[in-house]
Amino acid sequence: MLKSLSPIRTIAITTYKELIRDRLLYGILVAALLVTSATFFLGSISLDQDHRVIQNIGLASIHIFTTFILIFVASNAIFRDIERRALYLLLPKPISRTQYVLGKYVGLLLLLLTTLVVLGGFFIAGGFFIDRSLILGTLMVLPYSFLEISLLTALSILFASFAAPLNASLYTLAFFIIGHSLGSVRAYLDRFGTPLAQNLTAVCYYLLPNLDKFDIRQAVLYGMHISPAQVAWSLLYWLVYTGLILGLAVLVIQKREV
Amino acid sequence: MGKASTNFGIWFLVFLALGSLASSQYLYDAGADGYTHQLKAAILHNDHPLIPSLPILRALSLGNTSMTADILWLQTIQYYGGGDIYGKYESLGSLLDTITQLDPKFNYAYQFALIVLPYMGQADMAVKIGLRAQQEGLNDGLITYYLASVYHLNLKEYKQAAKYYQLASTQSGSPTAAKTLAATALDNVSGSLADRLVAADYWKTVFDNATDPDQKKLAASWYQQMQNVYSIEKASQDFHAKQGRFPNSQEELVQYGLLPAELGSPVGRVITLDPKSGKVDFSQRAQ
Repeated sequence: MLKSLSPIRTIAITTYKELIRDRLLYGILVAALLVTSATFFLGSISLDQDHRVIQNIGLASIHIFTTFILIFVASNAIFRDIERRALYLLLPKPISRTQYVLGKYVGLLLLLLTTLVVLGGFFIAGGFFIDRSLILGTLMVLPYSFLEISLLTALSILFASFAAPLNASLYTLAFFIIGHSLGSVRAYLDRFGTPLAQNLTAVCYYLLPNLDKFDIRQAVLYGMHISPAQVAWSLLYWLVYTGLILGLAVLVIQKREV
Repeated sequence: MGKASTNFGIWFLVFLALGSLASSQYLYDAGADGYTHQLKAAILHNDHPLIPSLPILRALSLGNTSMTADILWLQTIQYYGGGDIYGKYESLGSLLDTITQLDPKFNYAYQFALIVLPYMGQADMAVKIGLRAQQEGLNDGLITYYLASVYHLNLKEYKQAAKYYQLASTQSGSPTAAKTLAATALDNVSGSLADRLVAADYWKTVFDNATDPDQKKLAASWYQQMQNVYSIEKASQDFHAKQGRFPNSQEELVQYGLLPAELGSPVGRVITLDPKSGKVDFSQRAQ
C-alpha cells in the first residue's frame, strides 16, 4: 500500500514544483492580490457597508481567481507531459496510469492549497487591520472553496485526458457556470417550464456537479446556521464526485495510446 | 546614397502618418456638429445607471446574488453621490428594488430606500420595498418604523401607518416613539366611529406602557381627547338620525340633550364640528 503511494508522492511533488515556477501563475496571483486589495478600498466607499462589501467581493474574487488558475493550469498539466514526451519516459517505469493521474491531481491540490493560503492569508491580514470580524468568515469560507475548486480540478484533468488544453479549460468553465446555475434554472423552470423541461432539469440538477452547496459566503455573511448534516453531505458529495471523475480520467488515460 | 534615401523615405512616411492622424483628429473635432466630447461627457454624467433585468443579474451572479447586490449598491452610492441635475434620481427606486430582490436580507438598502425615496417623489416604490422587508420576515423594527413613517408623512395613509408603527413597536431596533406614533396616526383616521375608539384604545396602551410621568400624562390627555371626539361624533350621528341633518355646533347637541355639556380638548386643540359630514376636526392648535 505504502509502496504504491510513493510514485504518487513523487509525481505530485514534481508536478507542484513545475507548476509553482510558472511565471503565468505569478502574473495571475499578482492580479488577484491587486483585486483583493481593491475590495478594501471598495469597502470604504460603500456607505457604512464595509463589512459586507469587503467580505462578499473579496472572497468572491479569491474564489474566482483561484478557480481560473486551477482550471487553466490543470488542463495544461497532462497535455504538457504528452507534448514534452515526459509521459513516454514515465509510463515504462513501474508507475501505473492510476498513480500518474492521482499524482498529478495531488500536485494540483498542493498548488490550489498554496494559492488559497497566499490569497486568503493576504485577505486575512488586511482584515486584521481593517475589520477583524472578516477573519472568522474567511476561515469558514476557504475550506469550502478548496472543495469546490478541487472538484473542478478533477474535471479539468478528465477533460485534459482527451481534449486539447483550451477545449478542456472551456469545458470545465462551462461546468463551473452550470454547477452554479442549476439551482436558479431549476427554480425558474419549476415556475414557468413545461413538465418535460422540469423533468430534464431535475435530472441535471441531481447528476451534474451541483456546486452551490460549496458556496457558503451568503450564509456566513448573515450568520446563518449550517447544520453538521449539511457539512457531512457536502463532504460525501465531494468525495464521491471527485472519485468518480478521477476514475473516469484514469479509464480514459488507460485507453489512450501513448 | 541608397541607404540614406531609404531612411529618409521611412522617416517621411512616419511623419506623414503622424500628420495624417493629427489632421484627421482635428477635422473630426471640427466637423462634429452633434456628438462632441462635451456632449459625450454630459451624457455620461447625467445618464441613468444601467440596471440589467433581475433574471439576467441572477443568472450572471452564478448563485452569488449577495455579491451582485453589493456591486449594484456601490453603483447606487456613486449615482446618488454624483448628483442629479433634476434632483429626482429617477433610477434610484429601480436600483434599490433590484438590490433588495437580489439580496432580501440587505437591511441597510431597505432603510436607505425608505428614507430617501419618498423625498424623490417615489413613495410608492419605497412602500413596495418596505413591504418586501416584511414579507422576507426581517423583523427589523427600524425598517418597519420607516415604512410606517412613509405611510404617515408622505402618503397620509394613517391606518396603514398605525398598523406598521404598532408592528415596529413589537420588533427590536424600533424607536421608543413607535407606539405613540401609532396612536397619533390613528387620530387622523375618521372613516367610522369605531376608528375613534381604536385610536383611544391605542392611547390607553401607550398610557399603560409609559414609565415617564410626562409621557403618561400626555397619553392620558390624548386618550380623553379621542373619547371626546368619539362622543361628539356619536351624538352628531344620533342627531342626523332624528333631524335628517348634521348639527351646526356642539351647542345644538347639548340643546337637543344628546351631549350633557360641550366637550373641550385636553390636548389644546380647537374642536370644530363639520355641519356637512358631522365629523370632528381637531388639527388646529388652540391660541
